[in-house]
Amino acid sequence: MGGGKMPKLPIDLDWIATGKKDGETYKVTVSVEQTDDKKKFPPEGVKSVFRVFRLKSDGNKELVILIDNHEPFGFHEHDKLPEEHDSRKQICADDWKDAWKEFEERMKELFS
Amino acid sequence: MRLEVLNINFKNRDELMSDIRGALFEGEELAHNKKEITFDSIDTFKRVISQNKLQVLMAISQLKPDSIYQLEKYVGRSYPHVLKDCRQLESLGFINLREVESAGGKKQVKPELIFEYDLIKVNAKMLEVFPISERSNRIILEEANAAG
Repeated sequence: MGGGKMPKLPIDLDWIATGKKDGETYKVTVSVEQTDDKKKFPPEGVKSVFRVFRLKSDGNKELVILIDNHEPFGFHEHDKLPEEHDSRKQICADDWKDAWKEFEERMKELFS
Repeated sequence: MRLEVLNINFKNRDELMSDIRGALFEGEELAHNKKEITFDSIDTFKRVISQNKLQVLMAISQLKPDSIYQLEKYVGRSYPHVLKDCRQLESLGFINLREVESAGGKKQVKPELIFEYDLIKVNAKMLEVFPISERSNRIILEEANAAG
């Protein structure tokens, strides 16, 4: 998995927070786990899903950020959420570490 | 008798990010506790958990409704409001909404606690405890009587 210390996996956590700009409620879910399937989750078989949902006042939730790495796309962001789930934009990430940094930037935009 | 507790904990964005970075890049252990829900602040928690939602949780725990329709009757509020509260509680991680088939073969949604917790313990500077189950009410009453 490259240099540095080995990650402590799995990571599976939820966090509920208020958006700083819009005052809406959001749920952040981060899931990173090692699988045996390097083909499906390139390049190392690490399945990474970084998501943010907006929890709407009518009780529904909508996905507003999704970065994941399933085949055949590699690491990508679903860039037209919540309107269009199937739109994907390749992100400059070779592995889950880069994808995490991309997600951190999105988090800063929402929560600072 | 041991009471089951759902813990409400708080982390700000920087603390959350630091924990995840620690696990990803430093090999630090990140505790996974399915019996807790983490918020960014007590303000967010208080904004999303109203008295009505606590009443819904208590009714689910104590009366075990088979459907939202039954729950609506127990809490004495209109169906759309109870359904909305249930959906929000599910999104927040307090309950599950499970699709089941009634005796008459009709599909309905059964609300259930994510596990059988008796209390919600809010681990803020000012500790707060919300009794949810009938068992927790009884024990708190017994302890109060013993102390008094």
